[in-house]
Amino acid sequence: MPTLSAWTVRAALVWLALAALVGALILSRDALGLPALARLIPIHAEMMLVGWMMQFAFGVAHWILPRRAAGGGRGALAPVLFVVGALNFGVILVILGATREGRVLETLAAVAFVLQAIPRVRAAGWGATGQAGDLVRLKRRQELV
Amino acid sequence: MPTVTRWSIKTALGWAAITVFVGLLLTWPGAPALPYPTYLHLFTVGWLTNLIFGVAHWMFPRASVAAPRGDERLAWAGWGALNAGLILRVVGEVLRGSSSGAWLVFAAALQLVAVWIWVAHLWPRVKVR
Repeated sequence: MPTLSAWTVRAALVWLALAALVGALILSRDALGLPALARLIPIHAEMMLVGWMMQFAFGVAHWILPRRAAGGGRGALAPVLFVVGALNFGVILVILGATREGRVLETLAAVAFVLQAIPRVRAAGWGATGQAGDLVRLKRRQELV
Repeated sequence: MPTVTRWSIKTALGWAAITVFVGLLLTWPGAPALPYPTYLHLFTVGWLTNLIFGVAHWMFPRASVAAPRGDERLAWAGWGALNAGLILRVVGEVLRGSSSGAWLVFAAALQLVAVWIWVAHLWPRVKVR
């Protein structure tokens, strides 16, 4: 797992742990005598959907998608660093009440990720062509194992 | 594929089937309806979270040579608490009576503990190699 993916997945897990705490408080609000906790539902959803699930997917995708053609590896680091920063800062802004500004950052992060990931969504490695050569490679792999 | 992963994925698939059935019920005139948030959590907790945790336990980098997937008892505890909590939540939401508050608090506690267990279990395996 590359360093950037490790940090992204860790950040996603932190959001998950925090969002679960908020969710548990919301679900217990009547028993706690705190019905106003229902106002945290949009924050809970933002943390879960963007902070946890989207960020986790981005981190894992950066790790496991096929590398770029012609030795391009996982591509330039700067765009992905921007994605991670903008996504997390966006969630924080939404939580703090600056919803529009936060969503702008989240949108830029998602668009930037899509643009840098698209070249990596390509046929590569075993099974790429579905032709006989792939099966030969599979057979060789099995022999190695 | 480790056993706990297989159970997590099978459970996720089961919840997926239940979720779409509940979604159908929500549109049915006269059918007993669950609150919409419960339907969303069947989807996100039952289906997506079980699937993510199960696959992460399987695919993440190894923790160590001696225990490649860490302490599997943690994964089992997380799986059990997550699904027990979700079931209790559904029961609590169906009851919607004076006793539903206790069910929901217990459900919330179980799901919170489950998530924290999974985070603690997966954390050491999120590493550069």
